[in-house]
Amino acid sequence: MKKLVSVKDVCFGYENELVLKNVNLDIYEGDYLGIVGPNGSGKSTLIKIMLNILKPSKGSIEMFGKNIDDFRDWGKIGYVRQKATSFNTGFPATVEEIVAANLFSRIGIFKPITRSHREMVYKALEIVEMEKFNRKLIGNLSGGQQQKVFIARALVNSPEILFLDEPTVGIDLDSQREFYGLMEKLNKEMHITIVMVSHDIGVITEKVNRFACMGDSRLICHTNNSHLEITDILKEVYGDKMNLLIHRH
Amino acid sequence: MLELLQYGFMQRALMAGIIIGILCPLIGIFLVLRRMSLIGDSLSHVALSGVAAGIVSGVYPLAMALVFSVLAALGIEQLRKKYEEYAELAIAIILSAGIGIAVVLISYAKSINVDLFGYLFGNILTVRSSDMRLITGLGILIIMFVKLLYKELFYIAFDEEGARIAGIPVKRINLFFIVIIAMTITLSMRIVGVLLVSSLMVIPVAASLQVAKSFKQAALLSVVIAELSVVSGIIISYYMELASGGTIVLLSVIILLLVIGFKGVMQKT
Repeated sequence: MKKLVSVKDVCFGYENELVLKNVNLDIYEGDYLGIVGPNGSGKSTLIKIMLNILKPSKGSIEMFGKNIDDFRDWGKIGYVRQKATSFNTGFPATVEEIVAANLFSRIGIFKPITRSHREMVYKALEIVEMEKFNRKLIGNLSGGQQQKVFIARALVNSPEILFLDEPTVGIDLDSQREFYGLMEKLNKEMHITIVMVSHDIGVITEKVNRFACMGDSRLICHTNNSHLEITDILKEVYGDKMNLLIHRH
Repeated sequence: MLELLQYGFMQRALMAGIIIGILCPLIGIFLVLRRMSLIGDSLSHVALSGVAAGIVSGVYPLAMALVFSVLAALGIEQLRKKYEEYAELAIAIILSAGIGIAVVLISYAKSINVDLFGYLFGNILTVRSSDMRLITGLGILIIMFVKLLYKELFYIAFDEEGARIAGIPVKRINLFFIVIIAMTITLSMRIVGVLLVSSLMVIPVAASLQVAKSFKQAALLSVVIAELSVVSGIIISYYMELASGGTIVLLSVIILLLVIGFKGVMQKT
């Protein structure tokens, strides 16, 4: 299987506090990888380092076989950031305008949006079943609908790998259920590799095919999904009082 | 009404007014949405110190103001990196430095007979042919660049981190944008005045945000509102012998209040 991302011996810290210690992680084509861990364990920091938003103090990242600093093919990557729905709701932008934004790098500076780009936007909105809302202002949608728009934005370039940082925070249970259904469709039917940071351990262990757990600034485990093994590991990270409940979304 | 256009100074004022009526809201919409409205005030005060330096040194004041405000814009970008957690501090520091230099130079140049009031509050009588050439040339250039970079500026305004990951050269565009803000402020000083230029960047945008149904609509509507304020403001200030800047800004405030009132009535019905 093709290796898409390789995290090699990465360390990261703020002043005297080390957030990540010698993290190693490989992500392969077809993975649906869930990264869990307590607050402050460095999950979001790890995603930001993989996406070159933060620079590691030590170690390196390879994306599609290239060092992240030399990587230019950002259309292969989709990203839905943490609290994506907590933007300025008064921003006067339509759903269509928001989704088209991720095409700008592909279109190029000084060049206009063409009909074929609009068709790509429509297709991305169709995947998340939001095509009828294309002319609506983003601020007038519900949290769940906004989340779908941000996923459509991440999908508009037909990425090979999709990163999501705490994507279900702030959206209702029905929308969460729809969200996980959509992720399964993207991974199994559209063959998009998914990397998801989440605090929702129960759902993650149920849905993903690979599992990583962060604790004490380290990557405690990186394994194929096996409930028995995961339960033991999570007890090590979260303590003995943790009881793993598997949701059936 | 047409008699107005017989005068060279009115032709120049209206032409310059029409250009800044496009420029100010076009830049202002990105400033407002990025919550950077105060940067206009900061750079306009530095532009005033540039005018004062020009008067003292005998250099064309508008050119000097342009140099000062562009340097200040670059200074703000540098200071924002130093104070990442307190980004607004950079704006406050540059604003204070701008006022300080302006006051010292103005007091030094008090014996020189200049229309400082015109620079502060705008005066259509003072738009010279040389100003006109600068405003037209640079103004058209800025409008073209903003049109060409419109989609990138939109993405950065909505989600800077997302834009960076999507491969947009955010740092370079931000730097370019802040220089353009400085240029716009300098070009607008003759008509609206240093103290009111940021109002023309913000108020038409505030009015358009009340009713716009898309970003494109918000940008176009804010230009329409600004043009309405500028052209009618110049005409009214001519007939009533008022400072053009104040008249233009008051008209834009009236339009804003009308839009808010209209929206309120529409929501009730």
